[in-house]
Amino acid sequence: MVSKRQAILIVLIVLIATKFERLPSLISLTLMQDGIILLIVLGILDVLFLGFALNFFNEFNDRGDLYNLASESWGKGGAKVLYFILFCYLIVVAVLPFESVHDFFANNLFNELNYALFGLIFLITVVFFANKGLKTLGRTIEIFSLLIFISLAFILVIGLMTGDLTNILPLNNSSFSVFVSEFARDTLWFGSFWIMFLLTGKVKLQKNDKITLNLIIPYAVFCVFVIPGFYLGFYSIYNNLAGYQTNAISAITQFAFLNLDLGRVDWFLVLFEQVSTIISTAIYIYLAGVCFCRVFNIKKEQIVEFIIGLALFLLDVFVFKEINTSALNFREITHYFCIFVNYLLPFAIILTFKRKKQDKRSKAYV
Amino acid sequence: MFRFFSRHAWIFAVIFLLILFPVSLTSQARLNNRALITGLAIDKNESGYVVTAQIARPLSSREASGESAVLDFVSESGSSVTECVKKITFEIGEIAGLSHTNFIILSKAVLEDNAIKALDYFLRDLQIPTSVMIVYSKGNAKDVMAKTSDLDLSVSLGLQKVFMFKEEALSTLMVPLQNFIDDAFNPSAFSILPELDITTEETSSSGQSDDKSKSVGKGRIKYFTPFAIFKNGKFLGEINNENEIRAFLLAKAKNSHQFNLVIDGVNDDVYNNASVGVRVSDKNVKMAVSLGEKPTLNLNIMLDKVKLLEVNNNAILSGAYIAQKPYLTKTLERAIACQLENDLKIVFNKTKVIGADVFGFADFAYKFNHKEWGEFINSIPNADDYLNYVDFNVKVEVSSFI
Amino acid sequence: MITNEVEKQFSKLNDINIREIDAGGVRVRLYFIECLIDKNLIAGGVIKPIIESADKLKAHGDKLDFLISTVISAPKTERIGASEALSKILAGNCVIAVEDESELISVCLQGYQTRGITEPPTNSVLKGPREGFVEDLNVNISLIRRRLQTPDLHIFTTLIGRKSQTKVALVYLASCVSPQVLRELKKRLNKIDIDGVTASYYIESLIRNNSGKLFRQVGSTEKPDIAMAKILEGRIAIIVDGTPIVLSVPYVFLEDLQSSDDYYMHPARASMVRIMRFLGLILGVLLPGLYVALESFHYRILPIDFLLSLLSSIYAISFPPLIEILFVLFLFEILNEASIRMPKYLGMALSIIGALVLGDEAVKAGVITPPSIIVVAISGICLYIVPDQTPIMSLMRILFTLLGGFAGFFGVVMGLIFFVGYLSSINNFGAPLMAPFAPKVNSDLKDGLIKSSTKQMITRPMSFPNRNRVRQAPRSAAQAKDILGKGKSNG
Repeated sequence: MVSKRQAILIVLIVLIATKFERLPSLISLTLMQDGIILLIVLGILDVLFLGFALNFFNEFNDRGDLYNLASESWGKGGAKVLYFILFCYLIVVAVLPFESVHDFFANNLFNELNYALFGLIFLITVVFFANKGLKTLGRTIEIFSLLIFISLAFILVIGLMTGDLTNILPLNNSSFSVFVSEFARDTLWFGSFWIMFLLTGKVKLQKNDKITLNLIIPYAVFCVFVIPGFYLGFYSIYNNLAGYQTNAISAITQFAFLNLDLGRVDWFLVLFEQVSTIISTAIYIYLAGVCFCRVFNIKKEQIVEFIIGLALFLLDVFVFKEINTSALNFREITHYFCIFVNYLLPFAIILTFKRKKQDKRSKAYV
Repeated sequence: MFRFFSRHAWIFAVIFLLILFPVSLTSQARLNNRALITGLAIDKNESGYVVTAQIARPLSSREASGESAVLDFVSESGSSVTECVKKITFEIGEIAGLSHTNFIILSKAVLEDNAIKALDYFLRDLQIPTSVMIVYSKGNAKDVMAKTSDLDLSVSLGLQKVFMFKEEALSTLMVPLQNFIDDAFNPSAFSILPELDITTEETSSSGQSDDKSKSVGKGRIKYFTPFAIFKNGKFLGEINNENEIRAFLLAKAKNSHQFNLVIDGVNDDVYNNASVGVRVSDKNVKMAVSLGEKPTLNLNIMLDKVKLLEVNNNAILSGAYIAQKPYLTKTLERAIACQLENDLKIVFNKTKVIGADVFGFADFAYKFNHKEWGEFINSIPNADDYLNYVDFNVKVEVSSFI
Repeated sequence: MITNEVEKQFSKLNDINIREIDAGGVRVRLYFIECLIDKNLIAGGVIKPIIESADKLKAHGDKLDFLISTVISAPKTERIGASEALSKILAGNCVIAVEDESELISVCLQGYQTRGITEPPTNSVLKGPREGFVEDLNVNISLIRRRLQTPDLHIFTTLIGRKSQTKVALVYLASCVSPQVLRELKKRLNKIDIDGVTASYYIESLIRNNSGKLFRQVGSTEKPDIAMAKILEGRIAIIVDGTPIVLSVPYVFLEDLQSSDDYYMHPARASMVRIMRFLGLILGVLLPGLYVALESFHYRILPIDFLLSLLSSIYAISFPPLIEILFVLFLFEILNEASIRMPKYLGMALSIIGALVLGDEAVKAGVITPPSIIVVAISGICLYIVPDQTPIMSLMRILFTLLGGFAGFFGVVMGLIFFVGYLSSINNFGAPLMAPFAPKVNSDLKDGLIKSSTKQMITRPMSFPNRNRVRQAPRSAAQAKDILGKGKSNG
């Protein structure tokens, strides 16, 4: 079980985890300036669906976890199908932070580090966290959250001050079909509100306490201002060459300290921000493990989480070898599935789950 | 089985460490084994390119006497820049550390061929920051590179910083690789590069035990150097005139603090052909574009907190000079404005002839008047010749003359 | 005869003294160990009164009662059975056997030499009390009793160690301590089955959880004022006879960042010092790893001038930075260990060897580089800012150095995340180790890295279980609201 504050921080950390790395340069390849509009649209949708998720969470949190609720409404079979879909979804989205951490360290910080060694160290850490469970994840996030947010704020300010903001003009220059196509492909990076569905029944709230504005407001600020604002800063610096920068967050600070001759001390800020990406991988692996165990009635979650981590590592080593194109290829394969999970499945859950008038206290599965 | 692994986890930890230890010791490129390439020069020859690397070799603290490093130069030729860089690595016997490269010199031959093609390697290799400065040389880039050894070591190693300081004083422009290439893809397709010219003064040092004096070269970066202008990465020509360069920098340079201007030919009853020096503390450049019947680029430059530094004229100094200070202020304001406006118009007209949109008319119109810009481009027979239809209005104002 | 029963128990012991007194025809035997008792007290308080009342003794029916109530002037006497005699003698009591009586009298005459109360060497302060605990349990209890003169202060004593029979006292405020924590502690102490306890560390290691074995889970102090403050917060102090280190549970990591000095100075200064301690600890642990990572993998971060200066220092060294730093760390640890064990009159020689040989000659010989010495020295000094954490943090420092050497910043960052996660997962006696940071307990943050004034600290800490929240009367509505439980965490 996690506290209210920890739950809010988990959602926010997952939200910011991968949005500042590969995504801006991918969007700039097709949409260029209009990428900011795409991010605002995706952000608004995310906020809207977060509202639905919170409505669901506040109603059902004291009644049990999502699996129990699904069993009541859809039967055991339906619940297993739902959880299997969520398991697949979580594995898919877990690839993103795994890849982006590797990309940052391999391309930006390192000249030489064995690919397998990187993955092995990453694997050990994320599996450790996944094994320890939500409480440890929540507490770790509580410790690192301030550092992450302050680093992000600094990076954003540096980025916005360095570039020519007029480079974002003109807007509304891309064709609608390109916009829709890019929208569909980038849904892979969004959908952090799903964490709220999966945290149902696992958050210890005081009586009559709810999670509403204290999550919606920061979530909306990030989705509608910070993420598009970051893209604005990034694009204003790199303009036509934005697509060459595989890791936007380390590129945005490149010009900031040139005349101070401090070297690349800005990379320390980026390192702190990367902690969010590393922890979000652990969250996804943990949740994927929980989903898998529920589907197949496995008691030892730790083994499943280890196997999932190992599978991600092997995928990274043997399948996603070519970092520069893997994100593009990956989203081509998975975007339909992500659209379904992000924008259709929540409706199915919200509209069909039985809302019982009397309080039914059931034990939350931890 | 899980219990077996958890009980014997220490064995796996030891094995892990035993694997990691030699891997980490052998695979990493130690700092000692890395050559720090702080500058590159690219020349063109028949078979391809000649790349010269400026390598900073650190001196051991025992042998160093003042300086921490010496500069070494290594040249290699190849059919592509990648091949040349690879050969340099082979030649120096160490791993080439390109991440501290702070300038790249392109020879004029490279500019005339295709500068962007030569720089493509540096754009894609993530080791090299895109903030690296690009300059050009009139002659052989390799020769200019060799002259950097005559400069102070801190200047040679921090040439980019020196150019940034000079940009603040409006004597040159620091053009990073990112901006040079990015500008080529903008609607105006105009990019610019400053020249790097190093002069070597022979100085003699005496005081040797055998009383023989040795001549040592002392390098100096030339104050005002021409600018090469490009369209779509293709070399068009140069801006040579000092006044024109100054006026152009006034409009273009983003980072400028206090800078000095020398205004010649201040003429009136009292000041007959005087030359005055002024310090400008701030400038504000506003651009506006009107697209209609007559497309016009309007440039407004406001110079703020201008201070008179020196008056160089033949007038006899008298009490009248001091009493007429307000009169001098007005005269100077007019003189500064007129001269700068003239210089800017000359720059625009000269570059218009060769099709270089130096002030970014197309960029501005594309950003802020997108629809009208599209209509304008569609209305003219050849979109590339849009500049021929554009007029230029410039107004320079001087406010708060101290 | 009871004397036979008693003497049978220590037939192989040579140092038990037997003094027989003929008290008006009644044989009285005294059993004691000379080196454990106060000789003046036994002579003046026991032997002499018995002899003087010899004629009255025989007349009394209950001779033991007569001796206890009328004759013996020692402060603590009790009746015991024969089976307890040996343990009482070994504890420094005098056991008196009277002819024809079935019980014995135990008189507490402990008078062994103990160390005087001095300032503890590991915990000096600029302002504040300078008394420190000593090895004697009773003296230690007296130091706390003097400071907490309340009937609410309870002391529960138990014996641990089959052979050592070490007295362990639990000291707590009954109205403030959590009954569950007390119960749990007593349960864990009862479970201890060991032959002897030489120091409090034995108790500490035997009552901790299995998880988080590497890190402290029990607080400790050598100062009575700190122990008193902990007891007032609702903790239990564990005093172990024979050790001046007093333990306390529950324990949170923040305790080691706090010092008694912080409470005797202005809060702003205290906050600054605490932040420095925290940053110093981080620097101490991470600096060698970061240096190795920078030199091995991430030279790009350094500006060119500094890089060249660094290179000119490390120019002639043939060892990889990882080996070099590990070597210097190893030397540092040896120096550290030697300085503790070495006789004081050789300290000067060691300082010269350390400074000149290691600092100067080794650099000149090209064995190590000046930057590595600087890094390890700064790291070492920083670690001693928090002396309680120094042992484990020096170990962590080596681990981070290895990670930095193997995997650069990536390794260091992953190690740090792992480390923080590991600490966050440790709970002991109901207290999360990283509270009040994780889980966040707002009310306890007033005494966290930023210290508030004493006026604002009106409640007991909520990071661990305790009772009776109010310490001071609230001065405002906000403070009254705080008392009602807003600071509580449930994560």
